[in-house]
Amino acid sequence: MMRWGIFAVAFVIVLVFFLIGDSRNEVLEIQNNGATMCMACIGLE
Amino acid sequence: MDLNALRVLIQWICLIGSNAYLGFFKTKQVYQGPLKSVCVPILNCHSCPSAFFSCPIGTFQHFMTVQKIPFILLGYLSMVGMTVGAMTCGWLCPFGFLQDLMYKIKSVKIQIPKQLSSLRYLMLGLLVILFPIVTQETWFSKLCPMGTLQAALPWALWDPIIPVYGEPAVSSTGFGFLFAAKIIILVFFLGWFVVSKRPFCRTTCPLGAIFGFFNAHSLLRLKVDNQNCKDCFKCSENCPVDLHVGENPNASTCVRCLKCLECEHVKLTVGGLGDKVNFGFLRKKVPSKNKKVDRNG
Repeated sequence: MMRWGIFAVAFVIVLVFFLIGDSRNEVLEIQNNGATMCMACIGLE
Repeated sequence: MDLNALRVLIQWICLIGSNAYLGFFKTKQVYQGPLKSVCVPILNCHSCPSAFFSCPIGTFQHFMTVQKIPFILLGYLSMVGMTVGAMTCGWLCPFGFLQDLMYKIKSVKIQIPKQLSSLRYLMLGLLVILFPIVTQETWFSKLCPMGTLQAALPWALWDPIIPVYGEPAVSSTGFGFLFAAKIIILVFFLGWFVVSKRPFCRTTCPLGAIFGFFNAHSLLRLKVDNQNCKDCFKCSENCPVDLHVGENPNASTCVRCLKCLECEHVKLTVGGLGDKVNFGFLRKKVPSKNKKVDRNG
């Protein structure tokens, strides 16, 4: 039961993280970053 | 179908499914749709021409370069980690899968010292967090062999005119120092994959470092019945990361492949419910060795 208790607390913290991130439009930022071809990955920078 | 065959099937599905965008042939661009807002819990370069999803480590570095805390990404990685630990490394990651496959090539085999696993935290701390904050450059991406394999090489070999830049992907600047360094690093790791078990996962992968941290605390955990253990070391022989499962079944380098479940004395538990929930269906029947083996020799 102890482990489930820790999981529940961590779950709440994660939810708070999601709320904060959502208010800062992080999903859009992740999408824009992933959709831009990374020149470092290709080896041009 | 036994557990390992199921794992290999899932690894294939994940490899193909996360890299199934074929529109790049027409657009000569990476996929730019809504799925790119999703970070898969594996190392899969989002600059790969056919990648549908974003790489969590590439995304993490981006947020570091703009000096913002990636709350959603941290929450997402924590959620995955505290539920299944590093299981995505063993069951989903295409780079881990490649290492599993290449280790099957017959050659001299070399063990990796345990101490080298600390290097993953160094990679995470320096190349993913500190250097990107200080220099505004994504340093791990620059050197990542998975990025070279999935993005640099395909783009370089194909070398189309990229509409955004109006220039060829690589040949406009030639094969510079960074490109050469990436290729050398990739070749080094490919050679290492043949002689050692999952060397990138165990010594370099920052995502594995994050998930590995949760192994000892996640809901899904492994438990060894030491009282009935026959010391046959079957669990350790099968382990793709050379763990002594009996000593520490939830080590940070464990990728939760669950191969060690082939021994009946290794159990899978979910939130401490292992003794109440029967996971026997996951176990492949193998003849157990009853002979006690002397641990010292």
